[in-house]
Amino acid sequence: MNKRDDFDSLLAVMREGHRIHNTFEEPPDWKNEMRRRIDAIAVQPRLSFFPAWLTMPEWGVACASLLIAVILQAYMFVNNTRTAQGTSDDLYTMALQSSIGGDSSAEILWGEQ
Amino acid sequence: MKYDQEVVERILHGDREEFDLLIGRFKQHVFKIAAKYIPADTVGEVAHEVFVRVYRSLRSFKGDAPLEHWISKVTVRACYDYWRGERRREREITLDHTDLDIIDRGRAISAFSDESRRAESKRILAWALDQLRAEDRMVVTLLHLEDHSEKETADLLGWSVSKVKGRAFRARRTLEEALRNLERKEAV
Repeated sequence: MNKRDDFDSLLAVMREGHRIHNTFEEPPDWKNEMRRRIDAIAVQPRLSFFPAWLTMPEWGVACASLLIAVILQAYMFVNNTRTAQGTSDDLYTMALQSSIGGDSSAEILWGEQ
Repeated sequence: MKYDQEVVERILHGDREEFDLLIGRFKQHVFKIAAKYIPADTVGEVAHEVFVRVYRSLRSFKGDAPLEHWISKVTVRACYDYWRGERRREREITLDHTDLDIIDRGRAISAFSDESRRAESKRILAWALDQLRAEDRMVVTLLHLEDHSEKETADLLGWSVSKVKGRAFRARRTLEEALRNLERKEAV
């Protein structure tokens, strides 16, 4: 027999064997065991504080990302304002020093005198 | 299908009675499918697993196909997982020259008309499927024994058609090789 005949013959026997179905009779406690397993994993209906769609993973990730973005923006805004404030303070100090510098110019002048 | 969708909605809203009805409606269907792919003594356990999976993944049921078809897929995949998890069988099936004779006359179906020959063919089937890996085994069963198309097989297992073709080719090579080995062994 060649390879093809081999396989086809084996397949014919297998098909014959497969036609004899396994018989399965439901055991008497099958239903109770099934109920027990489902009860073990059953989730009580949610007391919905959040709408159901919000609890879906993709929405959860989207909302979390949005929240993080808002917090970051807020932080950067506050930080920038402080820096700007700091810069203006520095300029004020420099201007003041400059005016003191005026004094020192005067000192020079007095010194010259 | 609209009815199926309503049933699923009710279960998702916590109606346990409805899920018991669903089990009652589909359990024979699940037993029947599982009995084609796995040993009879494991059907009950796998059927439990099927309904647990159904319960857990009801949210993913889109309602674009009947619930029965969706449950069939879950069942076939649970059977595949059974074979994936199954370690080497405790009792190895061996064939002898008588079995080889039966295989030689395989295409003469009349050879299996009597009961003892039918039992032999069942043993040869078990031997042949035991030679295969879990995925090849499922493909051979679905394609060659259950006469599903490649597309249907791919759909039931959640694979691509090319994967099914590849596994079918590999299964065929494995079985041919196993048969050759058997012939060589018997010739010695």
